[in-house]
Parts: sequence; structure tokens; C-alpha cells
Amino acid sequence: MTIARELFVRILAGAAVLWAAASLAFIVLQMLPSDPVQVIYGADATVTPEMRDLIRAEYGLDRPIWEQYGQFVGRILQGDLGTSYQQRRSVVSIIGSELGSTITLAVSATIFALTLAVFASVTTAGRRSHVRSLMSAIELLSISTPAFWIGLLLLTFLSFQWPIFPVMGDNSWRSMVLPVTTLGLAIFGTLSQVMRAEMDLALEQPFALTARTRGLSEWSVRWRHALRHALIPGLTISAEMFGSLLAGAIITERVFGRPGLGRITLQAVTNQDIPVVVGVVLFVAAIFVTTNIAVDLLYRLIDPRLRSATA
Amino acid sequence: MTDLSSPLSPPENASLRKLRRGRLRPGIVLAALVLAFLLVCGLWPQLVAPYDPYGLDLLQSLKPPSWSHIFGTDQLGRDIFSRVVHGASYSLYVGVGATLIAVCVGIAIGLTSGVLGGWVDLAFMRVVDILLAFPSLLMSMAVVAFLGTGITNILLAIAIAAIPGYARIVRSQVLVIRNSGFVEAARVLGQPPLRTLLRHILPNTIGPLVVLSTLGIGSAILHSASLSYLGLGPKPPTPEWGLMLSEGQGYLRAAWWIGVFPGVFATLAIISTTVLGRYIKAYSEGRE
Amino acid sequence: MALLDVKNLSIRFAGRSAAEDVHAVRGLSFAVEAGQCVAIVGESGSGKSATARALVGLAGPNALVEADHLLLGATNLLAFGPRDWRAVRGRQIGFVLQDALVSLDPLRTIGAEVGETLREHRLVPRTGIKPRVLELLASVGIPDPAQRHDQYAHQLSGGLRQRALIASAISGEPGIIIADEPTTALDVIVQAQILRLLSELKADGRGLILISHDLAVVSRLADHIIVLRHGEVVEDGTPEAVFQRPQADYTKALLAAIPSGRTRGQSLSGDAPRSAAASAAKAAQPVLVASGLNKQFGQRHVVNDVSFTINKGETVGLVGASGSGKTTLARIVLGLERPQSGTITLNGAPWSALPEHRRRPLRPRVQLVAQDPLGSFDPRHRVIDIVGEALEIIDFPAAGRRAEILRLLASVGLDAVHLLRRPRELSGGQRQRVAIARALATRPSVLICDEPVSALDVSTQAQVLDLLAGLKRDLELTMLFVSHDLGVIQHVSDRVLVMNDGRIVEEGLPDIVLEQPRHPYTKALVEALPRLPVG
Repeated sequence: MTIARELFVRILAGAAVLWAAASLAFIVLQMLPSDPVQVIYGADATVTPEMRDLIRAEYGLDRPIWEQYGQFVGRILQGDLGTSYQQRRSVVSIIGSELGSTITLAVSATIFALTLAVFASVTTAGRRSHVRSLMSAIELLSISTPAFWIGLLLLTFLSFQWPIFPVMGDNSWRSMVLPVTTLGLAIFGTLSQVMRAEMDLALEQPFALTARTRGLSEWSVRWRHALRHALIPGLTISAEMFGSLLAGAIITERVFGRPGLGRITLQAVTNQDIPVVVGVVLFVAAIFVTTNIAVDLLYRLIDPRLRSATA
Repeated sequence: MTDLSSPLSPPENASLRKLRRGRLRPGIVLAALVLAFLLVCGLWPQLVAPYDPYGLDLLQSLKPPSWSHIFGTDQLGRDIFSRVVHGASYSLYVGVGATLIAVCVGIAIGLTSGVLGGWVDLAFMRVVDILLAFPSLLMSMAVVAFLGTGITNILLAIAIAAIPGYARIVRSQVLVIRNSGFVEAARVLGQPPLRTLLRHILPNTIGPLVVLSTLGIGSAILHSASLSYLGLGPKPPTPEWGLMLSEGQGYLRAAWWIGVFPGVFATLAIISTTVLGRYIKAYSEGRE
Repeated sequence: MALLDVKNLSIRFAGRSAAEDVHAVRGLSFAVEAGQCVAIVGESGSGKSATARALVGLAGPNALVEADHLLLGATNLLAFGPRDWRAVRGRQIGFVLQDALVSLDPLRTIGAEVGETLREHRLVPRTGIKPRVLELLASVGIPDPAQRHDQYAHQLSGGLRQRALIASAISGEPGIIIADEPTTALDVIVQAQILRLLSELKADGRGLILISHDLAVVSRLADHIIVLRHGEVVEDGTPEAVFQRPQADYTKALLAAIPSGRTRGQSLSGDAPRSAAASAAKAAQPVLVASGLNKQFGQRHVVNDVSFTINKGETVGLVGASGSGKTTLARIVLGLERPQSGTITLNGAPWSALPEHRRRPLRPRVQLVAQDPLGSFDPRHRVIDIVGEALEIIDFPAAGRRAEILRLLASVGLDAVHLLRRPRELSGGQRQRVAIARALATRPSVLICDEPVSALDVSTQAQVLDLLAGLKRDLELTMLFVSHDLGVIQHVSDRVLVMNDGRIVEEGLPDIVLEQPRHPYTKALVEALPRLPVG
């Protein structure tokens, strides 16, 4: 009952965020200095006034601003994000056709990074050892190295110098290895640092001592007790980073020449194809809102203290 | 009975001793040296660079690293080392500039929100929440989509994308300080609220943020390199690190060095600001 | 044969160099027999907890544990590797920690936590674990075990959590139980229950090692008491010997430092011998009068129809368990919370009813010494800024400020070297002195002390209490002294208020209220109070 109500409130709040994001996008659209008609025809094209009026009517640009806003929001509610200036296709169908490849990449990278982070924190938390120093160094590198450069290095050395993995193109799992590694490494550092800090903390807590005095092995204390504590911030970060993963996908897809959401976003930004940019932005916001709601629910499963706190 | 008998030393010694006791690990010193070198590169590149970063020499194109070109040459025969050295100024410009703008605006918004509270707080924080729903790189890209490409637009885009984060931190810090024991102690003494704000809340809020912003410089440099790589930054032949990597990508099969050295410099710049930022943060929190 | 025999135990923590090594414990010897209790008593830093952990092989990776011998029955513990230790923990030695909310894993059920030893050592078949856990929970006096089994630590009271910890420690039926500060965070009444439970374990023939900072707590249970100071044994003997004929000066000082009704008017720290308190019966002159105070948070009536008076030069003690509403009451008196009904007057003029901007100029009249002085200081300020700020507020002439700060510091036993220190660079006792100096800077009509010594060691507590007593005598301070500790309250108070569930249930002279209590709650409180068997 309470959980259902909580969920309802969260969904409402999420919808409000989306609505506000859409409105913000609309306002920015209005403030835009560039002329959409020019964008549609290309900057160099000469456009006759008749053609201009035709285009403006086609995209609804000739109506009063409030009407445009109403239509804008109304269309979004119907799942219509508008039409691309460049491709003359609906934004939804563009996103839809490119989505699968990006989601595969993002999900694989998350799994890769999370696995690595769990492994790193379980093995090195609460210890002062060379392994830990090495892990810290890798984390620092992961945080500080531009993802595209990691990608370029992998490409240079593992595809060109020693052709272990294919450069691009074919659809086998082998073509996924380098992109997933690139994207996964980019988020691994943050994830691992946060989880290990939490695990360090958990291992210092009295309950860890209690568990040890029961005769538990170090391994059991880490897996059975401390890991769950580390997963709480781990999940928060993962949820926050799922959005950045989509942004990271832009870079990764560019490096490896893969199709996907990132590529069309980049095209849209470079060509000032505003409907596509707005569409992607709203889409990412929607993903952010949904993952956050999902993570909130997951918290309740992991942390019983939250269950009764809202009861 | 042990309370007062502890050896009494002059007070300033405590922090001095911390400094002298040499927790200045080699990594920190190295980071400081690297940053100093990059600073020289950024401010006076002609002192370091042996060649003109724009000087074409097609006969010398795609030469591997050698004594005359220590980082090799690119597809147009330009000296990569000279170009990389000149690239430092762009990254430092964006890194420092974007962070400065973001921190100042962030402090203004966060303070207003945290101090005034009420509907102002509610309105500001809702907007901040919405903006935080977007990954910062994507937001920067969206801003570039509206403003157009170029180095200064990148700077603005990165600054705008970073503002909500800083505003949130400042606001929550203000709330923590406002509910702290020492603000309550000031209230018990009968201190007027405005004086409490100036004497206790402001310094304790801004101090940690300034420290935090050193960490922000690193991530601003990272974003600027990424945006440039994506072609949203300066136009060729500008020797910007991200742009150099993007231009050179087609030649990697034949010339690995094109893809390596600009990235090394970018990574060094980011790592050294991050390491120093963390050290300053730990030091200011009394952990070092 | 003794269950556990320790001879000449030494624990060192390796520093970065040999010179930085910390000798936590040295030369400690004792033996634990079945059905006997050995108590190890000491203040913070005495090495008592390091000893407890070393006995289960958990002193930490950089600890060096040495001894002439360390025998568990006939087994030599010194030769143990990690695997051997694991077989001993839980099976032969059970360990009970102080109840912090997190001594049990907050993310797992009570059942999973208590049953963990059974599962780990495969003591009962998988299906037998739950019934055995329910038995254990019932045996330590947890009501409704079936329901508690599926609950989490945060859903239990402190007393029940401590019982669950004990259930977990005895689940493997170990012959030896080590209890490290098992009652420290608990209220007096619950503490007495837990001590009773521990004495039952002892009566069952288990050997008990009790670690505590509190001599009074161990006095009921111990057959043998060891007093540690800075890792060295200063006293070692039977309770009678330790309490009646203490040998070491430290033990004597420690015993003398424990406040109670008997020590009223005497020095606790033994520094300045004082004449008996001259509490001459002056004409009562009310300074602070509270009448009919009420405060509700949601459904909870935290302060319920409370009225009292504090007269000039008088210390009123307010005692109660945690959650009794005493802190909220103190905050209302300070003007930090607004009562929903009732009023407080200060020197005959309205106080609680004033709007904030009119109360502000009067605030220097009512000052606070809080439990956590560190939190009450701006971390960036130095002592001179902290005390100076109070002077600035009462518009003390800037020219004489430094001299006045020095005078105030001198009155709390600090001097010029402390002027430029930051709070972090001071010890706990010094911080509390600075807090007192700041509170006195405005020459308040009433000083509110909210648990001012609860976070301090006994000997530091003694110094601070002596300081307050001296200041009271010299400056005729009027105080409201809030504490959960009956001994402290009895020591400092001229009059006592006993608070329970938001109400003042008993009021009067400390000797009468605390020696011949009438209200059932006060009776229970007084009965539960551990007392020293000193003559």
C-alpha cells in the first residue's frame, strides 16, 4: 500500500521532470538564433519566400507561440517527438532504429564495469597492499583518461598493430569487445572508488567484527556482509551513470564507427538538427527518471531500514 | 588527570608539523611538477616547442619519433611535440575558465537557495534537479548545438553543464552548516543572523567548494578534449589535443604515434589536477 | 585446569618505524575458570579493547601479540593460524560487543545474524537452524522470538539488540564469553537487566571476561578485577581487595573520581581540597520559572505539563533515560524550541513567549554547555575567536578583550598557550573547558549544562565536575544540569528533577529523591544503579 503510493508519487515527480525538461527545450528552441528553414535547406541554399512559408507551415512555425507550445507538448504526450530537419523522418523512428545497438553497448559496459568494480572492491577493500595500490592507480587512470583516447589506443594496438579484434563492422561478439571495454573502463573508476570506500567503511563497522568473532572467514565477511553495503552507493552511481553511458556511447560509437544513438546525436548536433537533439535529450531524461525509480525500489530490497522508514 | 599535562607546544606547530612530517608523497610532487610544466607550455609555448605548430612539411609527413621530432610528425608533416605543447593553452583555458564560471554561478545559486529557503529554494532546486537529469557531456553537446562550435562556446557549454552540480553542493553544505552545533551556539549567544551568515556560514561553505573546484578543472579538461574530438570545438588546424586525435584517426594504422602523444598530454593534465585536487581536499579536511 | 590462561601478554602496534610502535598492552596475566568472571577495567587508551580482540586473534594485521603462554584449555593459541582461529571463534570463545545500532548487520535479519555461527560451523542441519535460533532468542529473554526472528536491528530497542548479540555469542555454546563494554550505551534499568543475564551465563558454568570503563558496573559480576592504565596493569585482585584496599594511586584516584551522593561537596579529582559547600539557606530568589510546558512532536508528547523553578545560586539536576524528553526540555529553556503551551520567565520577565528578535538581546543571559563541544565550535576558529565572539556580542570593549579572554581561560584552568589552538588540537576535557569559558563570558543568569561530561573518561569527568563546582561557588552560578547519570546528578545537584516519558515524576533534595524514592520509576532507576561496594 505505502510502496504503491510512494511509487505513484515518484512517477508523478518523474513526469513533472520530463514536462519541465520539454518546456525548457521549447524555450531554448525559441531563443535559437539560427533559422530552422535555413538548416533544413542547408546554409548555402537560397530560399524563396514562398518556399519559406511552405516550410514554416509544414513545421508549424507560423502559429502563435502558445499554440506552438501546446502542440509541442501535445505531440510529446502522444509519443511524437517531431520530424528531423535533416532526414525528414520522425525523430521517434530515428531513435528507435538506432536504439538497440546503443542499449546493447551500454548494458554490456555496465555489466563489465560493475563486475570489475565488485571484484576490485571485494579483493582490495580494507587492505593496504600492492594490489590495492595497483587498483587505485587503474581507477585514477580510468577517471582521468578521456574515453575516446582509450578507444583509440585499443584500436591502434589491438586491431592495427596486432590484429586481435576486428576494426569494426561485423556483428560477432568480437567486434563488441573493444567498444565495451572502452565504455566500461570509463565508468569503472568512479564505480569502484565509491564502492570500495563504502566497503572500507563497512569492514570497520562493529557488525563486521561481530561476524568475525563468529568464526567467519575474511571472504565470507566480505561477500555476505560488506558487499551488500557497498552495493547501495554502487547502485546509485550506476543509475546516475547510465545517463552518462549514453553520452559515452556517443564517443565510443564515433571511435569505432558503430551505428547507434550516439552517432545520430552527434550528426544532429553538428548539423543543428534541433528536433533530433531535443528528442534525444528528452529520451535520455526519460531513461534517467525510470532508472532512478527502479533504483529506489531496488534500495528497498537491499536496505530494510528504508522499508520501515516510509511505513 | 592526563588532561592538562600533555606537552604544550606553540599552536602553529600542529599544522606545520603535518606539512613537515613529509606526507608529501612522491606522487604529489610529481603531479605538481607535471602541472607546472603544462602551465609553462600553456603560457609560453614558444619556450618549449622547437617548431611552428602550423608549419607544414609534406616531405616529413608520418615520420616516427626520432631525435629531430621526438613525438614524430603527423599526416601533414607537422611536429607533433610542438603541436601538443601549444595544445596545453586551449585545455588550460577551458579547464580553468569553465570551472571558474561554474563555481561562481553555482555559489550564487546555491547560497541564495540555501540561505533564503522557502519557495526560492524550492524553485531553484527543482530546476537544478531537472538539469541534473542530463549527463553533463550530453548537456554540453546540447548547448553547443544551440551556440555553435568553437573553443569559447565549448568553455561556456562545459560551465553551464557543471553549474547545477556546484549549486547542489553549495546548497546542501549551507544546510549542513545552518544545522550545525556552532551555528546553534552562535544563536544561543544571541548573535544576529546576518553576522552568523557572514562569520560562520559563508566561510564554511565556500572554503570546501574552492577546494572541490580544483577537482573540477580536471573534469573540465576531459570534457573539452572529448567535445573537441567530436568535432564540436575549434576548427583544424588548431593544435587542440582532442582535435589532433580526431584528425589523426585515419592514419593510426600507419602511424601509432599520432594517436598516442596528444592523449598522453591530456591524461597527464587531468591526472595531475585530480591528484593535486584530492591532496588539497584531504589536507583541508585534516586527513593528511 | 583454567579455561583460558594468559601469561605476560604484550600487544604492540607497528608504526611506520620502530620508534613509532605503540605498546598497547604489556605484562598482562590472568586466568579464567569455569563459572568465574575476570573484569578488565580502564579508561580510553588503556588497551582493554585491544586485549579483548587479541584473545580471539582479531587484534588487527599490524598488531604483534606476544606472551609467555596463551592457553585455551591445553591448546596453545600463540601457534594459531587464521584457520585455527576461525574454528575457535564462536565455538569456544563467544564475543559480545557494545550495542551500537550497527553491532548487528543492519541489512540482515536478527535470525540470519544469530544463526550465522550455527551455519558457519555447521552445528545443526540446515532445517534445524531456525528452531535453534528461536530457542536461543527465548533463552536470552527476548519476548516473541518468532516475530523478532524476521525483524532487523533497527526495529529493536537497544536492550533487545544487546540480548540478540548475546544470543549470537552463545549460539555455538562456547565455554568462554568475552563481553566488551556490553552495557555502555544502555540506560541504567536495561543495563541492570543485561548484567543479570550475564551473571546467569556465569552461573551456567561459562567463563566470562568483562571489559569495561566503569568500575561500578563490573563490581557486581567480577570475581577478579584487573585495572589497566596505558597498557600496564596497575591493580590486580579480588573485588574486595580492589575496592576496600586499593594499592595503586591510580585506582584510588579512579575510585575517588566516581561521583555519587556521598561525594557531594568534595573534590573528585583530588586537586584542590575544598571546604564543604556553603549552601547556606538563603532566601530563595527565583531566576527561571517554568510553568505548564508542553511540547508534542507528531503523536509523541515529548514534554508533558512540566513546571519547575530554579533559584539564584542553585544547581537543579534533571535526570532521565534517553527519550525521556530532557533534551527537548533543555532546548525549550534555551529558547531553541517553542513550547506549544506554558511559559518560562527569566528574572520575572517573559522569556519563552518573546518573539525571536526581542529574545535575541537577552540570549546572553541563558547560556549552554553542550555534550559535544567540538560540534559547537566553528572548526576554522581558534580559542581566542571562540571566546572573543561571545564578548563581542555583549559589546565588551575591544581594548580589554584579550585580557578578559585570558581571565576567562584562567578561570577554567587554561592559559595563554591555548589561545591560538583550534578545537581539533585540544583534548576532550580542554574543549569542554573552552565551552564553559565561552558560556561564562556573557555572565549568564542561568547556565544550562546538557550532558556536559557524558563523552568524557571518569578522570576527565572528575576534573570538569570539580571545575563547575568551583565556579559555582566563586560566581554563584545558577545551573540546570541535565544528565542520564544518577551518580553525576546526585553529586552536583542541590535539587533533583526526575523525568520520565515527558513528565517530571519526582522532585526534591537529591538525598531524599535518590535514597528514598517514592515514584515507581525513580525506584526502578535507583535500584538499577550499579554501586561501588566501598565503605
